[in-house]
Amino acid sequence: MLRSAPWAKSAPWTRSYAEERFNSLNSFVFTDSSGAEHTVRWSLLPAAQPVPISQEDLAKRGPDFLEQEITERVRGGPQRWTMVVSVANPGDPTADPSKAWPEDRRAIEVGTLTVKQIEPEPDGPCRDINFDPTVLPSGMRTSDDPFPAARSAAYAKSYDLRTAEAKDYPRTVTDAKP
Amino acid sequence: MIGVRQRFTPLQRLLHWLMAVCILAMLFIGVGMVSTVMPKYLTLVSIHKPLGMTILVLALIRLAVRLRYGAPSLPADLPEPMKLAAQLSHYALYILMIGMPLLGWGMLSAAAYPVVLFGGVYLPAILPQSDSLHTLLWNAHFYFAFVFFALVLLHVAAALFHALVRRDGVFEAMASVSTHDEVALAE
Repeated sequence: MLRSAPWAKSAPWTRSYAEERFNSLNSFVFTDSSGAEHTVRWSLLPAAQPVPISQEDLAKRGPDFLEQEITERVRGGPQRWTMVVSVANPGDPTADPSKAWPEDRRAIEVGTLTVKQIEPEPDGPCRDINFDPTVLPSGMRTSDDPFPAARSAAYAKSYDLRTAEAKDYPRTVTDAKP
Repeated sequence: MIGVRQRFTPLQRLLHWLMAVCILAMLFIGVGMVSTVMPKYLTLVSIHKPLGMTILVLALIRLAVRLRYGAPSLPADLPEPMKLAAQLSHYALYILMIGMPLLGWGMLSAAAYPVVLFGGVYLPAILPQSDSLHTLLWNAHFYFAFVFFALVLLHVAAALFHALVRRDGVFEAMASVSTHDEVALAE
């Protein structure tokens, strides 16, 4: 936290998840149509134009303004991110998610993420799922990056503890008579 | 005339020793995989699931073979409490050999995890996704693993007791490597 603090103060902040770029940090091995394997990192690039926001303006907003903003924005129309994978060259630090790869690495657009609906967590289909970064579709597998395995092990433990306490996180029953 | 086998059939002995290796490996893989966050975690999990299903299939075959061929009778001079312990512990072992993989499969199903076998074959979910079921089955899988471990130790201790102390042929009924069936004719 302390080491990231100077970066956090100077980094550009946006006012919406829809304007944010998301990076995998972890590398994965993707197989192309010819069967060749490539170590990649993926990024989701926002279709919406980022509008920077100052620290002072940020401080004036509510603690959950990003969540409210994305809900309203998606209600007004689907939001999109382009999925881009950067392909490592031999010798790139594929095993260390804290090290960036050079900017000139080949980037390939592989798809578009379209968000059409935002559902609140307590009743949504995502609340009881463990988002395990090692559960991958065919054509993708873990690389020599050791972190997805560590995340998988830790998230499984966390999931076991969380589901054991599910009764303390009730769903919002909207149609129940009081 | 009824043939009374002094040994288990070669198929039963093969299944026993094959499963002994699988189950011992399974217990240690299980303990190992919940104790690490290193990349070997993924390797261990990817062995644990298919090996569990292998044990389930082998246990069902073994149960069918046992029902078909039975088992050599215990020595007549074995004290009744020991006979009872032998019978009950074998019921428990069969229940665990079949029950543990089912608990694991059910637990993964209740968490909506994919169950991937060797070669990328996916097994269907056997239960709907459910927090409470997942917790129940996870706890059962966890604690019964220790029960299983204790039973295996008891089983090994009893086998050695028969082999080294009583020398009554019970150990040889399963440990013999001879492939031809020796049948003693009942009087």
